[in-house]
Amino acid sequence: MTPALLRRAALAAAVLLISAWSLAPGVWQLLTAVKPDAQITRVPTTYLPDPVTFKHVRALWQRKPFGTYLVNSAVICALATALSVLLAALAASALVRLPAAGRLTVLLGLLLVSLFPPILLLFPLYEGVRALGWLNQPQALIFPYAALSLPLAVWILESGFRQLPKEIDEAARLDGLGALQRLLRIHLPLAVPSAVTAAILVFIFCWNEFMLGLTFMTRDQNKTVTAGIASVSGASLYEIPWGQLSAAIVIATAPLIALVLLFERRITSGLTRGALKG
Amino acid sequence: MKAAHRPGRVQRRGALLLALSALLGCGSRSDPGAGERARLSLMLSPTERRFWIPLARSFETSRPGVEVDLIEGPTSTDLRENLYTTALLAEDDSLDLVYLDVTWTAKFAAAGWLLPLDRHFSAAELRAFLPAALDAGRIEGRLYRIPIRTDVGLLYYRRDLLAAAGFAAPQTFAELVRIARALQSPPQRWGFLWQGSQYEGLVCVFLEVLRGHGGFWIDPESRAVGLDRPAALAALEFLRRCRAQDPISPPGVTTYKEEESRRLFQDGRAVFLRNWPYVWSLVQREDSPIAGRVGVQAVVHAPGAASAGTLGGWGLGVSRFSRHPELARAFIRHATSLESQRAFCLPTGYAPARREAYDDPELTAANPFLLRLLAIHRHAVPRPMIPRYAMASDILQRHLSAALAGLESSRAALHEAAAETRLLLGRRRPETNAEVTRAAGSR
Amino acid sequence: MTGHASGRERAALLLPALLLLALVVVVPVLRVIQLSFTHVDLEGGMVASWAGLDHHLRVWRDGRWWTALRNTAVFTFASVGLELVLGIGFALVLHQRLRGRGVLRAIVLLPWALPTAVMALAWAWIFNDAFGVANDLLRRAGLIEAPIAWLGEPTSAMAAMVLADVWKTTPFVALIVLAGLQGIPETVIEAALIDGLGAWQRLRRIVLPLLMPTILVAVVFRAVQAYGAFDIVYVMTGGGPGGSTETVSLYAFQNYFRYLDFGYGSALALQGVILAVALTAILVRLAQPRRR
Repeated sequence: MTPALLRRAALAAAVLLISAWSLAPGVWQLLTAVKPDAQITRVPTTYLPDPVTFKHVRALWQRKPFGTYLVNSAVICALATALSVLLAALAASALVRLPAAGRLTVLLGLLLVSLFPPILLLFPLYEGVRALGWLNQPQALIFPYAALSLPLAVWILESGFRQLPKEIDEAARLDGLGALQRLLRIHLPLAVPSAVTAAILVFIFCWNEFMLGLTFMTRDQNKTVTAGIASVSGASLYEIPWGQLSAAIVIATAPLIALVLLFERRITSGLTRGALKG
Repeated sequence: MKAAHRPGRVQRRGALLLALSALLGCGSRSDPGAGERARLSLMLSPTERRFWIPLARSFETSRPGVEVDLIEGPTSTDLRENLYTTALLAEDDSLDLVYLDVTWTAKFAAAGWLLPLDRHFSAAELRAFLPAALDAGRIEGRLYRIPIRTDVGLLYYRRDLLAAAGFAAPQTFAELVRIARALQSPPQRWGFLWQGSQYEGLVCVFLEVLRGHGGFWIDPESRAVGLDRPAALAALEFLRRCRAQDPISPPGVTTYKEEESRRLFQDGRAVFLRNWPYVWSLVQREDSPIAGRVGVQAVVHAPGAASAGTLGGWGLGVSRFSRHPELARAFIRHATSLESQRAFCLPTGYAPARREAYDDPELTAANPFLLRLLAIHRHAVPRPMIPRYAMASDILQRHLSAALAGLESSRAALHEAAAETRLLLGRRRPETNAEVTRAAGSR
Repeated sequence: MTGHASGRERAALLLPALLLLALVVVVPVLRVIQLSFTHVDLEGGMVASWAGLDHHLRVWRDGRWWTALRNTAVFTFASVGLELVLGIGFALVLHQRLRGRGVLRAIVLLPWALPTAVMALAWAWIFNDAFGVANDLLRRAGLIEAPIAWLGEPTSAMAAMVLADVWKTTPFVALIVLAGLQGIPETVIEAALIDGLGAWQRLRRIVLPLLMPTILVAVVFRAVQAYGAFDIVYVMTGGGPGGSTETVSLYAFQNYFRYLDFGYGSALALQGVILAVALTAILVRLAQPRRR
């Protein structure tokens, strides 16, 4: 075998391993979700379901308000994303024209904020939400989610805005357009790609958030999908319906899988750009 | 999505109107009269929930317009406690009734989440309950919880094996160990099974051995801590040696909870089992390999000390934030009536909290061991009812577990546990002899 | 260029974002600091009273705190270490000219996009001692005889948790390193090839040193995130068995919502953060001389 062929073989093997590693857990959940109960608890493990059954999906939908969870998540995440991207766009357009030192300070400050362990903020936010009577209301999560994802959104939008040639901006300013007008008429249209990237990443963050969702939503019909499912843990084997749980996991993660497959390019560039600023 | 939880406002207005028009001054929280719509909510574990359904339906039938919502919570007790906590801490009115474990009552009451029930239940009504079970709901003299079902730690044994070898049932630790060693043949059959996993069950087991040695854990009044005294060391050493030295318990006993230990015993794999009353009806079923060959009695103790099964059980309290406290109390009355107790305890094998249920022919026919249970229950020992019980229990569990696993010496573990517990309780000065005697002697 | 009017405009544009952050982050942090000096617990009937340094001193004498700190350190180091190795590996593969590179990137990205809390349940199922796939695969491979009680033993529970976390966050590290790789000029690689350096030598002597700044960024980010890990611990192990996987975040959470000891919980959370900041500062400081 020539070195080149060896290299190609090694590469192929690596690609295979990496793909298997990344996909295996998800695939296993999928298989468990459609497997009959008897096969789920058989030892040694039965890998392929035979026959495929949707009993778990049906039972799950009856037991827990799964549709409601998904709607809650969708609404809360969409609104939080909109708010976050909006505020980030405003802030980023202002940041772009700051001198380098000032801009770096603000950006680093935002970075610092995003590194706080969420447990630090949980209880005071809970107190605030309780005082406002917002428990079990969507706004209890929308505002914190928007705030916590702001640094990420600002980083992405700021680098997107920075690519705008200064001359166009200067010309517009000389023409008498105010900052807000410039933002709306020039920056934003050109920054739509960055905004979309930011929106996707923020949406993913909001959908996956657990701690706040667990604490602020106590009623089943108000829970997000992540908090709703994941709060079923902690008992012995004899009591957890693994088939239903697997079905729940698959349904909860399906929207995100779709997002990733559709928008891989954007997510990659957003992540790397956002993080490379260090 | 938002409309879902608004019925409260509508019928509160309706109730107010009704009160006004009927010229009845029932106070600002007037409960619905006949025909008025209201909903009571209660969260239960999935396994227990289905036995509450008949109780809920019969209540709804007797009060048209009232709906009892039995919410399915997670299986884990701790997670349910968490859910109750976040809801009540938020002063949420979504839960009217609170299904309380004995260990939760002090905390929930101290947090101000429960309405006192003294004024609403007459002395005669309260006398109907087993005193130990009822007292578990009394915090600082006020009643916050009416018991539904009660538990006490028991020692199950294989009557047939003991009889064949000519042994009488053991009364002391030494006798237990002797018989276990003689009759066991590990790993097919072990001598003594108990709950050794790091959770509340371990505390229950340890307490029985501790009290059986004449020791104590925490005295609620004086805040005396007895964990670093000789009796505690003897108790922990007893358990440790069961597993690690001339073992009569399997090494896996430190991963067992109630179900694991029960299944092994039911499969005929042990001579003695320490567990709760619910096990009885399960091991006596036709399909049980050891049906008819099981004896049950109070837990063993040291010579000179008394048997001290740990008191357990569940009961109902009323949330302070409920919009229908009167209705909630009515439901409690309904759920603790003799008919309800019978309907609930027959299929489950749980021990009722109502005294006269033990005279009920149907219940005792299905579960003849209830009468024995009554006698043993009289000496049940509660866990210290302090508000910060959860933390004290967690401290004890951690150190017991470490000692049983051999990670720490028993002495060091208990010393640490005592120090941390004193720190928790704010206890700065050492315990006086008087306090110790009082604590060890009290029930 | 920066006139007075545009300065005010800029301020107005920045204001909403800063306001939201102030309300959601700054105010709560101040409140936590305040709470850490306050007694609010069941003993005192949930009424606030001044505690002085009581809580902060108690933290240092708290055996469970030290255990949590140790668990968090083990988790962080193991997790970040493994992610780094795997992430660099993934990045090197992704950097190659492959057909379907986009698809591969999407596949690699997938674990990162899925909710940690939900996948933690999936991992608990994989590591189930009786019916889990992990045990089955190991048994079929002949590596073990009896099933391992993964989540029932301290060491294996931590290992399982680390694995689950590494699976989830390796894509993040991989992408960052990939971007760094793409930033290495072709000329440098060509020079190395001309010098006759083999692939492994190229990696060790040229590529990795050039990647250091990027790697540092990834490590700092991930270290801080792993330190504050909550979702995976709460859902997968609940801190068990026996508190051997309880992290700082979980211990603080328990104090808030199980023991209702808001003051002490705040002290724990605060000390945890201070330590995290110190850790970050040390990490950054350690890396500085090498950069120069």
